[in-house]
Amino acid sequence: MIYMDERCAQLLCKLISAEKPIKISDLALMLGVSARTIRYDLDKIDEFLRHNQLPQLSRKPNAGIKFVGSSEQKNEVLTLISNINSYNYILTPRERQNAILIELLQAENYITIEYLTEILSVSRGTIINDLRKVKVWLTRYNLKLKSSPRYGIKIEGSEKDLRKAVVALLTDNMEIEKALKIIKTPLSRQINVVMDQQIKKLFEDLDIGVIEETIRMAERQMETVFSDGAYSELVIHIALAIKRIQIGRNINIPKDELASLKFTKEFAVASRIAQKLERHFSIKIPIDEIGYITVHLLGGKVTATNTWVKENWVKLQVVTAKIIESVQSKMGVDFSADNELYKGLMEHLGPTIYRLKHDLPLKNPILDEVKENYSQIFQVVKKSLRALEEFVGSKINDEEIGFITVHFGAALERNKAKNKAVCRILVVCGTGVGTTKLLSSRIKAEFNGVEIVGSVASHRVKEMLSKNKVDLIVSTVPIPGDNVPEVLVNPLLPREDIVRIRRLIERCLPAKDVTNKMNNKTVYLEEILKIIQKHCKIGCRSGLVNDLAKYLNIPSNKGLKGVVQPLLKDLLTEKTIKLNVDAKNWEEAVRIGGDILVKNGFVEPRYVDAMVRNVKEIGPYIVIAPGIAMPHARPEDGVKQVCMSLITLKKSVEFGHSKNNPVSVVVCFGAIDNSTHLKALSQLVELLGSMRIVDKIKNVRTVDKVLALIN
Amino acid sequence: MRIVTLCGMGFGTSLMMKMAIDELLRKHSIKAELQAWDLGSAKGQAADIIVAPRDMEKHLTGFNARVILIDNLTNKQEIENKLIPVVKELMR
Repeated sequence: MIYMDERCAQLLCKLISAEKPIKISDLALMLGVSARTIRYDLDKIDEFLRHNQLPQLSRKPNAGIKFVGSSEQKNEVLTLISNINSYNYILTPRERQNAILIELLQAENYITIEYLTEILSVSRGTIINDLRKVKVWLTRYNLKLKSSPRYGIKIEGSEKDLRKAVVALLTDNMEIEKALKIIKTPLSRQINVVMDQQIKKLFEDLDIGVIEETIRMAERQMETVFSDGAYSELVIHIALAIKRIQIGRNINIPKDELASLKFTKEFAVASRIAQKLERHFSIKIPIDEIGYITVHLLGGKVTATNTWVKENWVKLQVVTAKIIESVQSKMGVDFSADNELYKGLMEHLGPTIYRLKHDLPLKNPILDEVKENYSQIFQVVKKSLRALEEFVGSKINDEEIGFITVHFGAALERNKAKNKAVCRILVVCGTGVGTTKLLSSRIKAEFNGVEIVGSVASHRVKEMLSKNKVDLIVSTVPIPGDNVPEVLVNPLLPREDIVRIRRLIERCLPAKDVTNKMNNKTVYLEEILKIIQKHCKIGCRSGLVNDLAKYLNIPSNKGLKGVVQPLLKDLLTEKTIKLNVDAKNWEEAVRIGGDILVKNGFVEPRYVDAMVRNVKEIGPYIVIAPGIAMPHARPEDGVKQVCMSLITLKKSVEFGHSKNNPVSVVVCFGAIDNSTHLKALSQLVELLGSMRIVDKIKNVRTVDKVLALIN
Repeated sequence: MRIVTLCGMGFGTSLMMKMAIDELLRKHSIKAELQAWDLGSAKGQAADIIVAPRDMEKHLTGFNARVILIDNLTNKQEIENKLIPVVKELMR
């Protein structure tokens, strides 16, 4: 049996549809994986091709990879790939759970576990395990998984929740526009094989074209154009509704809600859509379904054409900024860092302005709730809309104010949540008197978002932990036997200890907040580079990156592709390698290796002490392989730049490691963060992974020979 | 599934193991969350599997996770033989 996973299938599709050979590096870029992974995948593909008696991929060093078969053979491959189903495709647990959900969500009645084991070709135990996860997922949408011994399993819950779940399942895995595209494409041309097949199955035998026609008709009648997202969502919702009606599952809408919907213009349009669909699909669409379509027409936020928003982008930005400014000065809350508010409000205001200018009143179904729950914000917002009023030339009605209020309400909630996210610190020392007080006040002065839970002697830690929630212990003495992250510091809190604490605080604050910011910024720089590259020729890329990073005040070396990580040969040079060194014991060996780094100006002398201390405190685990030790310490212990040294010992020394003694090769290194040195480190591992090379390094007499091995 | 590689400081050994495991997971088409931690900040964190150098064993008390100890960190075969069966077992 030949196994291909999703990425291999995708890769093969790309190669087949390409006219020219594609380089491995480009393939890696396209799929967002490393070149090495691509090579693995290509081997798997070759195996797959061989198995099916098809020609192997051609791999030419400077040209790239190409599928050389005839067009018949190409078609054959495409059919093979589209036939890959769960029998010869290994589903990831998540894909399997999605498949189970799709089966369950479209089942008319009970399905059995046997049926699932058959279509997914996994064991009963696996399915039962998956069902646990499926159950959890379903509860998010108020749905239950009911199992009854004689019949099997089925989903229970309201029709509305069930439909929400189906759409969520689609959009969990991809954007809605893409989902619609997949539903429309014939199977053989698809790329993401298994998931697509599953999605397609949801809408089997349904003429999507007709549905799209009705939506376009609705657009004409409402004199508007939906955004792409809203359009796709409408099509999918209606397609789903038809499928459900066909198996006799109708939606229910509360009577009073339906009554209020009936008066909207959208209801009339929805009725006409329903008429058309009834004729074409020979079904009867109940009035509740028409209400449901109305809700989606309303929810699709009758937007002006995208072009209107695009043309008026700058004005829109100004109006948005003015409204936010006015609200924040009246409320005394700073929203300037809240990008979500800015973006959300701007997106909302585009259609709003269009509606106001064209006098298309929009009913706000939650206006009363908003007025009740956010009465103060509502009043403030009402007084803050001058910029908008001037722009559209009329007063703003309460319905629209209600929508805008919701944006600010959410921003206030976010603001509260942010202020709440503090790191609770317990400060500990031997006695719990003077030192901890000093430490506490230093910590408070140095960091934002921390709360000192208490400052106590070490024997009271257990008691404090049982009474309080503590995120981090900062202590001057080691504390055994608890479950809270701790950092051991010097009572005077030198700079390197502050760095260490900061890292831990960042970890215990909501991870999302910190990483999001990071990601946004990194992407940002990459985007800028892309734009520049599109229009200009870049002379010195690294210089540009550095200057941009400096100007924009973001780290240039974090996660940015194209910034050079030093290679092993950049770090291990004739200056940093010493052979046949005399060392009496392990400490001397570490110090000799460390001194090379100090002499070259790569680290401060205290870094060497830190390396020795590390071995003493945590143990000889730095002996990473038989005969090889890799001493190092933390960036804040005095590293000036990424560096490495290598020494071989005339006589090997004991580090006290349980298995890998004695040591005769010592590689010291210094890192500045946890990424820049990775390339060199992985090359080092490759090098030292070969016993043959290690033996050579131990025995050669000249540095040149070692350098030759590294290169 | 969350796999954590652990060492004293989080800059060398744990990253080496992380890189090796990253490669292994891809090779076996296993999707798992993979992180490198240092001892101090790993306390009290949740993980399904902890991979650490053999000589850190005595520091690894109090974790509610499967612990895998590696003798030779440059030996990918050793890591593969010890880790992958456990991953597969836990995924079942």
